[in-house]
Amino acid sequence: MMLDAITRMRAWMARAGELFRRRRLGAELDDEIRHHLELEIEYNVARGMPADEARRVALVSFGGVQRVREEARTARGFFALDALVRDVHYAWRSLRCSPGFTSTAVATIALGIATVTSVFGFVNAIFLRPLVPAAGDRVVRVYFETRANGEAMFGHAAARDMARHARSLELVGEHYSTAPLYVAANGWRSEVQGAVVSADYFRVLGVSASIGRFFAPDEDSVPDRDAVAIIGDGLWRSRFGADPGILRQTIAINGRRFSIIGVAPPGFFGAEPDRSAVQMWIPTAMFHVGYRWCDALAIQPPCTNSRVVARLAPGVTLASARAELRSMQPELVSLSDPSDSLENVAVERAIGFSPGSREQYLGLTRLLWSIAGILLVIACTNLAGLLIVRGLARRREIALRLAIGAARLQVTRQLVIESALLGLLGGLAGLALSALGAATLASFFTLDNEGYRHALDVHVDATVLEFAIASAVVAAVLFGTFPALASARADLVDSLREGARGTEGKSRTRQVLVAAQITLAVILLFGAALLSRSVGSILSTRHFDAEHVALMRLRPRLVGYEPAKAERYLADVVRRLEHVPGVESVGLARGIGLAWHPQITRPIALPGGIASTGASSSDAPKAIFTTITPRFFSTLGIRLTSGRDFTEHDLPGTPKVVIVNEALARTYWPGVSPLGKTVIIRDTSFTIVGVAPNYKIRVGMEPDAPMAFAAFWQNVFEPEVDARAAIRVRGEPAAMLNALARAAQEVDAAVPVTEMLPMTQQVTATFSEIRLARAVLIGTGALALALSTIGLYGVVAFVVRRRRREIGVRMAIGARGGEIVRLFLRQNLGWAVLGIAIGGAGAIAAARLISAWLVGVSPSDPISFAIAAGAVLIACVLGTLLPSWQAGRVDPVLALRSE
Amino acid sequence: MARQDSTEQVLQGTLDLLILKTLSLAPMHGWGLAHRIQDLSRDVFQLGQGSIYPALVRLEQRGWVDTDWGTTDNNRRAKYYRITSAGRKAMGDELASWRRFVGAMDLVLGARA
Repeated sequence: MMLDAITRMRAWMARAGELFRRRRLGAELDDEIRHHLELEIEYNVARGMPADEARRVALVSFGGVQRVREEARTARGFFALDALVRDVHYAWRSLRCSPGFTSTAVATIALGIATVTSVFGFVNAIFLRPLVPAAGDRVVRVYFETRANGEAMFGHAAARDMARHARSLELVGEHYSTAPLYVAANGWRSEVQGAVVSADYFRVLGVSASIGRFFAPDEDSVPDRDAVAIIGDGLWRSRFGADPGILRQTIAINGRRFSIIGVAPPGFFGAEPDRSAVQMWIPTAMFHVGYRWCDALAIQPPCTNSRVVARLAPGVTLASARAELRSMQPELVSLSDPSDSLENVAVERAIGFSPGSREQYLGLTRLLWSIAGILLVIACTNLAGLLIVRGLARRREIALRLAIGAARLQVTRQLVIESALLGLLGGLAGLALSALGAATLASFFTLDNEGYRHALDVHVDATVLEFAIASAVVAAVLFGTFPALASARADLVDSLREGARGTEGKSRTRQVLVAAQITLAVILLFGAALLSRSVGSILSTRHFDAEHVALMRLRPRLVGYEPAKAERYLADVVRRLEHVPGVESVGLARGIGLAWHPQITRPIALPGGIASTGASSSDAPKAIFTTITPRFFSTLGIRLTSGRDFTEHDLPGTPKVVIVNEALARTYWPGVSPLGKTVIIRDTSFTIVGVAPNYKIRVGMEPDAPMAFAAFWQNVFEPEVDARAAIRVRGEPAAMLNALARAAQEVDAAVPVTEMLPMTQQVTATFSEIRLARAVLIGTGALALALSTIGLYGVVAFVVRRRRREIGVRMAIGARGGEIVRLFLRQNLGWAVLGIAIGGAGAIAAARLISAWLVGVSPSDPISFAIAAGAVLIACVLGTLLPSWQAGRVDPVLALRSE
Repeated sequence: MARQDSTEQVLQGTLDLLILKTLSLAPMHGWGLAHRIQDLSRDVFQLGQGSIYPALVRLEQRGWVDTDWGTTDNNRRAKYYRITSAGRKAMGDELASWRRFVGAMDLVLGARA
């Protein structure tokens, strides 16, 4: 819908431009003049003049062709334009005459527009911006639709097949953009966010190398032959000192030597910057280096992580490309992983994020839009209030203009132009502010909870610019013109005679507007309070201590270690880390125990109970399952509620032991100690030796999800090779990361050590959505409060001015300043209470939007409501006190004399 | 504009009225219109013939005249102007105010001491 509107607006602007293209009409006039002169010459000749005399006389009596042309053009072209210029000029002057009004109005519009435009910038990056803006709509994404998560990948062989045979695709760029590349080069070792890409990938994306070149087709044809790599501009600067001789260097990637053949241009982060801001590229012929499940030929089914961006062949439509690829579907499926329940091949324009990522942002986007919309409405209401006052003040002027014969249409046009001018100024200011806002929104997503960078480019492009200006002008004209007109549509004679008195009705309208603002402010503030309390309760009830904990991931699998070798390596690393000065304890978890991602669940049963294996295993009770080393709990500051921790003696061959959490214990042994009991997890019996408290591992998880922990070194199920380490240190974990990585590398420098980050950073990144929503709600709530206060101040100041005389009389007959203040306070608090009541009801309804993020707080939380209502009441009192206090100091004599 | 002794310049602001009046008799093209005005005034008005064109543009913009492309007697394409009903109404108003103006001028100039 938004896109539609923008397209329509562009078309309209093009047409408007055409109106000013007067060439055709000019040519017509020339024809007409020529025709005229010919007739006149013939006429003169007929009267007996010689030919050149006839011509001369004809020109003389016509009287200056050029001048006629110019006059005609002036009469035609500037008739409309001239008036417009005059009106704009007049509007500008009249705005400059009241700087207070103008700056308040512009600031109000700017705040509203900055908020919606920031959100729009965010939405634009996620949903609207073309991946390759220069390529128009020729660049497409090709993927499998799936029932589960919307988007499945191709096998490498399938992508090759597509590149070779699909005629509707001119260029096919295949890429795997989340390849962990562990790089060692001149003295440093580090994981680099990498991608495995085909030779045509860079051509599809329309980039060219800033140094050297990209892959030649030949370099991506023979598996395992050409070890060549491209590096990103950022990496070139940070790790290679921007060395212009970079092309002579070789580096080790996942243990393999590569030569650098090119540097990508600045700001280029690959085809999926939202998933991973890539800084190193290797060809698909080296797929097995970038992805451990691929063999050198990269044709086995597990090697299915290719995504495709492509350029349509000239003249080919999306529909025909789709039809062709559907016809190739059986081969494509057979060359990919059929177990992914692949559905149709989809071809869509490459705009915004890839479909899978877009999905994730829908909820957040909806929320941000709602918040921004509310703030814009508040800003517009404020603007309407301002313009009502201005309209009243100008009633005389407008009435006068009507009386001396200005057409009503002309006056209206003048008001519209004035509002549009305000909108334009506010829109530009808002646009400038929004760059800041959008960057702030994006900053919540640049680092994920595994320490990987994402690029979310929210720069102001043409679409954002058009959106900001268009919405500012539309809002200003809508909310600016009608109130002004309404207040001007008074009886002429009346307005002229009584000046600007008799305005009770209008201040009532304004008060209603302010009450509406308060209502909306309450909604925003309530949301802000709810989320703040939610974040607070997430942090206080998680039952573990993330401070002073460093995380790292040990990845022997990346360099092909067998389980036995990997186990020795991991045990050595733990010992080595424990001896690093400043380290208090070290714990390992297998799989993804600490990254707070969806956990592995295992069916769970009791001896003698119904076997939990079998066909209906989806109904069987499950527990979140992971394996941990001794001291894992103490490293995270978790104290077992009963029983013992694992020890170095829990090894293969000793009885299998398990620690369960309280939730699991309470489910199966309510009121009884579970220690020593037996539990069956995936057909294996374990003895419970300890009970851990429930601790939250991710948002939205039911607080009491049952969990079971097995002993890491017992190898109870399939052997894992990689592990994550948590290391409790004294002091700042960030300062220890290098020393810790060095210790791990001393054991075996070949093994990649990645995803090193302080645990607090992981916690923060995990809650980035909630934190973003909270920040936005707090920010907009504060703005809403400020706007309502200004609005209220405006109403009171206005009423005070109008009732100066009445106040003067009251004071003259003995009223005290305090009584005047009380009078206004009583009136405004009435409206405020009404606004709070309506807003409270609305807020509880609106809280559904964020219910998924409310942890430990109810969507109708009375404390949050009290906070919101209190803030609004304080703002009301402030907004009323100041102007009415001034009213109370009115000198009765001056006030009475002023009229 | 060439000033000639035996003729009068068209008074500022009256050209529109002259054009509307002339067009109310019959639609015609620019040259015809210029000559018709001169003929009707028995050659008293010597207007620069070109000056009718900006005036015609102005009148067209106000919607008082309309144009059609047609063919002349000797088979040439020409733009024909014709008065619209809004133009007739405007002409009536202008005519009335012109008559008042002339009447007032007569009264003043005919006054005796």
